Amino acid sequence: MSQPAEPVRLTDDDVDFLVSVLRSATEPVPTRALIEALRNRQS
Amino acid sequence: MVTAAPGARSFSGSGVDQEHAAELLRLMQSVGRFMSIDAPIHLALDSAVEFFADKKISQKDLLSAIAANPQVFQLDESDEAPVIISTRAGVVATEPRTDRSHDFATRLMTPAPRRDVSDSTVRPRPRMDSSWSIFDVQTTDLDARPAPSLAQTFSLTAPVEEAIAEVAEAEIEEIAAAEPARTITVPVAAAPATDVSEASDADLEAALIERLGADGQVAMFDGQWMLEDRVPRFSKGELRKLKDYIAEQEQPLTDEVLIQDVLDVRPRSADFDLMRFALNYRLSKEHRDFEFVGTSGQRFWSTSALAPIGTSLRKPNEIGTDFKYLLDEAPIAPDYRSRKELSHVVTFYEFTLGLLPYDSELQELLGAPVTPNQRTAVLTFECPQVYTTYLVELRYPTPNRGGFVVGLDDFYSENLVPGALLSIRATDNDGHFVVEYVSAPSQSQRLLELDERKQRYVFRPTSFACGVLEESLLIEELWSSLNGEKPLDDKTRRRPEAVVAATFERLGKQFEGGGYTASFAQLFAGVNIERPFSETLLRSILENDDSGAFAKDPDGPDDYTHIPGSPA
Repeated sequence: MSQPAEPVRLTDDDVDFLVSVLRSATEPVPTRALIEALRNRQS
Repeated sequence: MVTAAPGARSFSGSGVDQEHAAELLRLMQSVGRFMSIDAPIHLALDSAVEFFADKKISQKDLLSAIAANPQVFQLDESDEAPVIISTRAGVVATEPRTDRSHDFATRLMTPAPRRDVSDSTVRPRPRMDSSWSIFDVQTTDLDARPAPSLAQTFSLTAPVEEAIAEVAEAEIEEIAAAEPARTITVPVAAAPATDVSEASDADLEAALIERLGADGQVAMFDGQWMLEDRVPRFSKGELRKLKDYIAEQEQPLTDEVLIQDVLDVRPRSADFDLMRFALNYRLSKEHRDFEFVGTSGQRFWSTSALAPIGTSLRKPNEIGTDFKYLLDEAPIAPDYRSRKELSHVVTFYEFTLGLLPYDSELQELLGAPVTPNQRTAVLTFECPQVYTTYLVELRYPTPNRGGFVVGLDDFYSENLVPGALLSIRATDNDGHFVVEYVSAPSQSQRLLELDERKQRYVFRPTSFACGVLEESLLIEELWSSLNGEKPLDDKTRRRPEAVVAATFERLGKQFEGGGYTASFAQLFAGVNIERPFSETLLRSILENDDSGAFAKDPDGPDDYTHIPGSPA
């Protein structure tokens, strides 16, 4: 039986990054776009 | 400006030396006339000799005068060309002590060591009020530093001009200070980025809502995000217009309608999406005047001034209490929008009040609440067979009451009878559904009704052209004992077992032992006359009855028996 995955915890650094993403947006940003931004930041 | 006059000052040495010293001091003062009173004045010995050549004062005379007055002159012979040093005050200059421990460069380059916080609780990241969010300053460790003493923050500098020589010579005592100097370091090193490569989108979305959604500088509504200070605001007048317009239309209105009709923003304008987000976000903060009652596809807004949707025969709270059994049957985590269509047989209770139970099947068909504490959602049920769209209201379950859909009174009474088959189909819009009944040849039957005025059951001839479940049809031939009867009193109908027992007796099919027998389908239709039952609840009462009042009838395919007088 597989163990349930640990919930994701965003750090202050992640929040600052996401805020900077939002700062550059002039329209509402969907959650999907923020998730993509987080993933692309990793790679 | 204060300058010590050479004539007013006494010199040492012979008379000639004193005279030469006064001349030399006068020269030094003229050279340093724009310098501060205690600043050292440097004059090359050769220059002085050249100056005094006309006055027949030789280098030897000058050196003699300098040697005789060491408190006034100093001869620096460290370089090849000797230099006479004095001040305008006429004393040998002492190098003022310059305290550089608190100048900008020193404090910038030598911050105080980081405090060891390993044993103390880590202070949570402060969240700035949204009105201050234009400042991109991290204030994380501003308060984490020990408070410095006032004396340590400042140190006395060199004496001012008025204090002149005696003060310049005084040593400034170091003020003992145990605490280190306060140093502000901006920004603080943040925790490293989270590795999200293994995380699912759902987990990331939950993390975003949990962390970013709690950030005061970020605005979020229904899966869309913006910086709070970038979201347009509405004046009190505009908010009042929005509220009045909803009241004037006498029904909840969507964000699109409100933006176009009240705020005059056209759908094709560049800022339509922005204004739509702004409307939803700003109204969601106006808890006193507005309530979100929509879905993602149809974001309805309501006000407290609107009349409730649906029946007035029974209070919503009472209906919710009747449906309380749904709380026990609902899944812990509903799989919203996983079902495309469902079929349902309308019961007498549902027909009378225009309801649908928010059971597990309906939960799988409908969407999840958009906002965390959403109480209701206004949905549109379109019936293409009658070219009508009905505005209905879904009341979400509470910890004590079951959920239900209300507002189908007209649709039911105009097209259906209790026992009719209904299908509800989802569309791409999570707030819009297509509801259809089975078309059938018109027929007429004497069917059970509740006379509202007399509060008694009656049978009236009814024509209908919809498909029905025969066992669920409440016809006079089967339920004649109900004719003229009053509904069960509240005390009895609150107990499901008592309702089941009463239903057995109303059907009146007795067997030899004095008990009653009935098929499950007929029982199900009968118990739903008084109060809502699910098949699960009814089956549970019939089969898990400890008192022995109910039992499975071995003679029928799906029949049950009831012995009157039993504790039930």
